[in-house]
Amino acid sequence: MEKKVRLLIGKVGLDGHDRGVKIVARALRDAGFEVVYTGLHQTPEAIVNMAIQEGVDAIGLSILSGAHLELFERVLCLLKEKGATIPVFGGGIIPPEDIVALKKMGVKETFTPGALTDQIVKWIEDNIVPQSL
Amino acid sequence: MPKVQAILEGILKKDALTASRLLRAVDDQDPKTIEILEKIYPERKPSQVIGLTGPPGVGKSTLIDALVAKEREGGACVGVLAIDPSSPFTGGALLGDRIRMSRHASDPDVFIRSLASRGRMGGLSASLQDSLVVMQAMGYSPIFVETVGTGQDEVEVLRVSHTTLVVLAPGLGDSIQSLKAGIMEIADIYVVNKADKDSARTLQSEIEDLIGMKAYAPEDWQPRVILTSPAYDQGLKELQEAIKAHWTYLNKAGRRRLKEEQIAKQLVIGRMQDKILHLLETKLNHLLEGAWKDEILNPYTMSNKLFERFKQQVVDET
Repeated sequence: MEKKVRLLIGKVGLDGHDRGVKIVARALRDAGFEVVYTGLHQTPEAIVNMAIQEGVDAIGLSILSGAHLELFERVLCLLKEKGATIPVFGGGIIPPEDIVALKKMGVKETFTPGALTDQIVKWIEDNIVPQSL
Repeated sequence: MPKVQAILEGILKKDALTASRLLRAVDDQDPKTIEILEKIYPERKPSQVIGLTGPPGVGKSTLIDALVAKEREGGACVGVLAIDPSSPFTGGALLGDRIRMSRHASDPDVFIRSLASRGRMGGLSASLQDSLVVMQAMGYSPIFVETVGTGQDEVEVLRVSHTTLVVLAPGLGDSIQSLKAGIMEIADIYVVNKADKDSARTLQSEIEDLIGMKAYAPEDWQPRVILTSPAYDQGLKELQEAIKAHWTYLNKAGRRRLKEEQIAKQLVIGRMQDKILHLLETKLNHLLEGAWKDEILNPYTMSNKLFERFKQQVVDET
């Protein structure tokens, strides 16, 4: 049996900045994870649907548009609606007070500018468990 | 085991969460899946499996995206299994095929699953055939399989699909490339994608020459060459019709049964190969460990000797 951590990494909403998320996706690949990359401009509905179909262990979203509170809330709400228990983490330009709000909402972790890819990898290794039957 | 029954029911009800978990366990080669797969197998619906192979960047994912859209117009529930390579160094993978298919992401009647090759050669993943069984039991039809971007020699897709498409694009080499053995022999339909480019016609005629060199009996399927350009909605209807024509062809004169026998045999071989190879590797490593202790022995003599010994053991046991 070969257990691998599978992740969905993507961008939601009206936000065309994908340099950071591509670097993160690449770093996660190099760490030995299987990374499904969604590309730009996804709706929360699409993200949740993809995450379910792809059987991922966690969803990582990059949001640089400032709409993080609304978008994370919608993703978490849709996951709940569909009965999927997939942890969500994210990154972007997020003010400290919003980080508190996001964590309260159920976002497991946030990474802001200056975060090292090693830090993200370490967090996943420590916190994300590959699902089983 | 009540859990097995629940999973089986979930699959037949097309429950996405159940399917997703099962596909994951299948991909991880969880031994618990064997019992479930065994029960699911007879529940498969007769759905056409369409394999697409071809070099990286020729537009396989984009073409699937367009074909899925065409199938959705007709109301079909469509499955897609898209394979990308795993790193030989870290085992990690970046699965990016579905970026090209994102317009179907919110459509509940399109099930797209990305698979990493996880070290399997030939352009597929070890879990591909089992994943197909799950999708067929869920009733998705047709199901598209996208191989890893292939070179010249990855022909496995032929052995798991009803209909094989070799997707090419102009500008990848001269006419000698089309004469070579390997993927240029396996297509039921050749697709010249990016047909809006100038040299597409040249490639088309090269492939047609290649087909023309072989004698086909009138009742045989003669491979077709179709020019497509999804960006301009060119050739897609024609391609869809050719795929359907091949399905009609297979459904006559018992050909589909024959094809499905081959596919089932391949599933048996695949499962056996994995098990036997694993056994063999363990055994060989064990045998070699002691033998190489003092000096490096002649590998030719060594392999001859070991093979004779192995043959003897197999003969003894049967």
